[in-house]
Amino acid sequence: MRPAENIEKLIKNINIDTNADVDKTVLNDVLKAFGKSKITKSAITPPSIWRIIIKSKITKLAAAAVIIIAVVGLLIFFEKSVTPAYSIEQTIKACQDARFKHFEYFGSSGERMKEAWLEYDDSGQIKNIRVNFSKVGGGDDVVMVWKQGRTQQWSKQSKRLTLFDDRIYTDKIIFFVQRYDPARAVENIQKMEKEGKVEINIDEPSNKIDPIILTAIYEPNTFLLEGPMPQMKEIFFIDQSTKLVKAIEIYELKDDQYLELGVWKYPDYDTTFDAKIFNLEDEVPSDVNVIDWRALDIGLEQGDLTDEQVAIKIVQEFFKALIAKDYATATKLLYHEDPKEEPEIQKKIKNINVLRIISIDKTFPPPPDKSKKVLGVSRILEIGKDGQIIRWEPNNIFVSRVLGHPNRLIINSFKYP
Amino acid sequence: MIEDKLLIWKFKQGSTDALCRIYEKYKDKLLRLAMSLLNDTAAAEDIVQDCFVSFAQSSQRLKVGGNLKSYLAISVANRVRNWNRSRKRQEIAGLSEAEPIISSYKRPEQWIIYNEELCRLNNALFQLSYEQREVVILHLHSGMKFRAIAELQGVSINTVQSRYRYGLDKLRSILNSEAKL
Repeated sequence: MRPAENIEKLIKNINIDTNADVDKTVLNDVLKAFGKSKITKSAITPPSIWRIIIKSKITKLAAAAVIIIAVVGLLIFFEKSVTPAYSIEQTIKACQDARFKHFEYFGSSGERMKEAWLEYDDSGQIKNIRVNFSKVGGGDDVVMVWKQGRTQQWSKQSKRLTLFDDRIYTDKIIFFVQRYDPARAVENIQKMEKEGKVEINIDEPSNKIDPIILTAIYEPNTFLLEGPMPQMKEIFFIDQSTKLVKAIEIYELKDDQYLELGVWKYPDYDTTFDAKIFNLEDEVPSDVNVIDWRALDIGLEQGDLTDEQVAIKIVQEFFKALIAKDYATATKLLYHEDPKEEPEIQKKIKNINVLRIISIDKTFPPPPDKSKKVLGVSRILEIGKDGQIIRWEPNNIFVSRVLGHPNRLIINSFKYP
Repeated sequence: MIEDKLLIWKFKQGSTDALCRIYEKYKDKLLRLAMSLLNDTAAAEDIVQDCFVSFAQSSQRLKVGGNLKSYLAISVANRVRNWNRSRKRQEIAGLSEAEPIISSYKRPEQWIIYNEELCRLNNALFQLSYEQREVVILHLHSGMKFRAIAELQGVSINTVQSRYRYGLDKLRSILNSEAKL
């Protein structure tokens, strides 16, 4: 490849190609924004209270005096407060009694990102779940309904209803319930406290109006997701009279400060839902494209091979199929959700003129923006392009499991040359 | 540099031509910067578009202290940080791991056209820590001074210089080992 000393030159000089049509579209948006800003007279922002305070010595002194009085007042207040009589068990019991749970998640800027409805059966087992996601990845509004292992997912703007049964997905759903169903969440932190992974502090106000504040501080890397995590903090707001959790604020520690990430709110408990809420069939429009993953015949069976072996095999099979011009087999090995997409995929892969496989024998871990459930596969090929034979070795092919088919794998990310 | 000062002055006077020139002059560089920091084409495109739109809206109150290139590069770097933070928020908010097929949302048309060199270099860059990557790219590609990067990262200039040194050493070793394959 290139000599090492050229690295600085390489970074300085590397260029990017752009799509000229999109260039124009973006420039049009920029010019529209510019046009509007010229019309809009800039508003004069009134000075903030803080600016007024710091501008004058007198107001600065007055503000300092107010802060001192407030601090002294608070100290006196805390000294007089009584020993907490509240116990976590009261909240667990109060929240457990509800068969129906409804909660919403708001981001730190106040936008509603998720709304969830849970229904338990008489034995306390989870029966039905519905979650509405707002603008997932900047794209669709998505509704997910899970009923005893079976999942329906409706992408509203794409007009797509996807059906699948997937054990790993079910595990995640149950995990989600355990994290944010208030009864399970409180049980969970109590258990983690015993294991030394969480520190719990309870503040019970002396008046009967303010909520009980339960603060849980997690050790780093004990919270939620796989992979390294910073220290997290959750603040539970618990109603004094009912002992029900009304909200959970979530924070992460960054640069010695807790940064608020969002808040789960629990507006009602045990309010029976209309059964229709868990039946998407009645809710989706008639022109929705139904994709049943259970019936999809895609990917390659793993058999007795290890994950690394099957990842290499699937990539080898894909390029062998391209060399043999067997585009139907090659398409079956590429990720797609809808059989209707196959002609388009075949049209694209027909343009890849693979002449020879030099090597496909190594896997590598995925880059940070990909799930850890995928595996990259290195390969070196010879392809014909613009009348020339060139060596092609990009590291951008990734393999993962097929949703609902745990013993099958598929190429889920692939950039065309 | 002088051209940029003139462009900014004209842009502040309301010149559409000046804005078009700034866009043409810097769009590729900013896309490249965002791609190197994120390795996510769709997000990089959104961030650069967003950066230009808010730049266009800011003509009346715009104050470019240093040079325009660094100003725009910092704007992209800050947006990338916000984007990373908000993505993390979504993940931490739960159920992100339970959204395996939602991520297949496809954009109708891509702005950035992939080339192999970009792919290879990005793969190498993504083996550095975010802070090292940011220093290397902002210094080498966007021509920013270490002092300005130190301000952006909220660390000392010495820290930035060591991040740069370690980052380059690591890149050299990654690309050299690739060369031996």
